Amino acid sequence: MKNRIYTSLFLLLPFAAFAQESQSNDYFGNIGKIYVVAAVMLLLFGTMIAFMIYLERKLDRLEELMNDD
Amino acid sequence: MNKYLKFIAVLLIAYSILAGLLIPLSTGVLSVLPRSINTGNYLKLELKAYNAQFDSAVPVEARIRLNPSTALCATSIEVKSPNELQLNFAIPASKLPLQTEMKDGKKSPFPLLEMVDAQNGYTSLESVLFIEQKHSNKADTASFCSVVPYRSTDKTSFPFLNILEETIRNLFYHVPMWFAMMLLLFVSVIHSILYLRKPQIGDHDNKAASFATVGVLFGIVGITTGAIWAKHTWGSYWSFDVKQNTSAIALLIYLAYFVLRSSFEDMDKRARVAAIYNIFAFATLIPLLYVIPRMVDSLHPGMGNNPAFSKLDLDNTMRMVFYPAVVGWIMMGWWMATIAMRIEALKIKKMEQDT
Repeated sequence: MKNRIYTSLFLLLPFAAFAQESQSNDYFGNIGKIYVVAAVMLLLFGTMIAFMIYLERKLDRLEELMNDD
Repeated sequence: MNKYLKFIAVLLIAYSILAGLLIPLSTGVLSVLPRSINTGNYLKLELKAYNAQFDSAVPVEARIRLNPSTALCATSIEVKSPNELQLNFAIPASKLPLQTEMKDGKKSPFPLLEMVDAQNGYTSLESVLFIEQKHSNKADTASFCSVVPYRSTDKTSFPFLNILEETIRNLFYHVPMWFAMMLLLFVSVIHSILYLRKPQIGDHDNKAASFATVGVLFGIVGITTGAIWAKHTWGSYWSFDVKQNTSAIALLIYLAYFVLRSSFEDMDKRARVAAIYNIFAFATLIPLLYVIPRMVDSLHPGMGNNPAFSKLDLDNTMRMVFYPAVVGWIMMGWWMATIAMRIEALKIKKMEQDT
């Protein structure tokens, strides 16, 4: 269970993962470096969500403007 | 944007994600030991492979090619685990017809290790070992064999490349960002030109700004995903490669566009100055991304003597996923830009009503 928590933590924080010390110790180098792909996809979708939040905040401000009248 | 186009965009991206993650990598050689041998010896080659199922693949055939027509065939092959083999060769004592130079000046692939079996298909490793031409007569029996082309199996798979390994899949999530960025910024600059031609007609300033916003967003995703990819293939997040530096400069130039836009109170003035700046920004983008990196050596594929769209970098299976991903992300970017534009248009309308 603890391992699983650590695993998901690392998936969430790609930048906080251990530096590449050696081939066997490198978490991101495991299983043919598939976690690099996971990190890249996470970043991609994270940015898309961030953009949606940005748009919603813009809409919120507009709604406030409309409701003031 | 047409709702059917949105549907197609989502479908294309979903397809590129699913296919990009589910299609397996072809079998590849991770390492071989030893890396050097004297002539006239028996060679026990310990081989570690990736994504192989040697235990269920009999018979495995293996050979070391010395030139296009001559090869040393393995005398026996022991399967140690699904991913490990021991290949036994007898290296003859006579002088080997090893071809070390290619006609076109490229690096010679010989001695080239080639393996084939029904389960894993064809696998090869270039310059597999250094053969020292030292005479010793331990192995008299030469295991020369004629080179019959190995048939490649028609399995759907992505190519295995050393160092890249599974990260070859990043091609579908990193490269389409740049394609989409390029197109969105192009649309943005078109709107800027249209604004300068007829400032009163249409909503060109707003459109230019919205498309530039999403374009730069895609550029930022491209540069950060590139940095993560570089960390695990080139060795560090930022290796001050030309391609990295020039794309960072290009993005900074575009960030200045937004700073410039937000520094004007007067709408007409803001639109005019921003449109002119946008044209200059786009004009610097082309040499920064497509001209300068090609003139100097770079780690990035497509630069220097490093072809991006070579046979191995983008084989036919990868094209089947890559092109839908490019089209899908371009359409997604367009959709995002139109939403941003519509919100901004409402805001402008509201402000015009108030005054």
